Amino acid sequence: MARVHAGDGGGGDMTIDAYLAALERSLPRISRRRILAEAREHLRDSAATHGAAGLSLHAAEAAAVDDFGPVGIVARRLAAEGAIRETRISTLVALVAVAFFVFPLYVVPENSLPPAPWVEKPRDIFVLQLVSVVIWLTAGALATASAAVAWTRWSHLPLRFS
Amino acid sequence: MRNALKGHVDLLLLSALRARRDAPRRSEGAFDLAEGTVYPSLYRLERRGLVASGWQEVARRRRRVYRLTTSGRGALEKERSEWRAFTRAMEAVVT
Repeated sequence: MARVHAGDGGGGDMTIDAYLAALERSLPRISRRRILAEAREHLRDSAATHGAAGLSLHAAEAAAVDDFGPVGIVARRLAAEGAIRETRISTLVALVAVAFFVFPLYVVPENSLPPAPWVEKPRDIFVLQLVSVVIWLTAGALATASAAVAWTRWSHLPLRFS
Repeated sequence: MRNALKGHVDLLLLSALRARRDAPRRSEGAFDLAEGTVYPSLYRLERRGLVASGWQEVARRRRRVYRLTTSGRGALEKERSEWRAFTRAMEAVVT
């Protein structure tokens, strides 16, 4: 079956290191390490097989890269899967962070708290309310900004490949 | 043939993992996928809990080894029966 070569996004005459460098530039940071390690091992294995079949070192690397597929296509698909993973981890971290602040409100018995110092100071209540509103508005703005950044970064990628 | 594979890569990979064989090799070259495009599918199967993986030292080389989970075996059985029903229906129509 025909392969795609350099000029249309293919590996062409690339070395393994050059291919991995090109791949690295397109991958989300969170999944990059594992994907690159796995691709490196795969390519080295494949190059060793081609070398054992009689190819020179350079030709064996080029053949391994060619078998792996056009770097543009492979990177795009890996990036899409990595983006899903990145989004899931970010969501989990956000939930844990929220739980960290909200959970104590439910588990700390009300009677164990010191008497409310603001009972006789209505102005303090107003300040606390104002601070909490500012915190929630800031958190909301940050969440919206994060969603917007994630959308602009990853919306062009397909979510499923099969 | 590559276009015909769309939608069936999961079934191919799960079957290959169960048989511990190389799907493109078993297909005698018909499913000559670019090797790098298999990884996103493997990662997706892993995310869905159908496949588990880990690094292992094999012949002095570090390799990522994938295996089917119990859920993966269940998913394979389900996809395989759907595939057989589909091919039976196609064969009944396509002459």
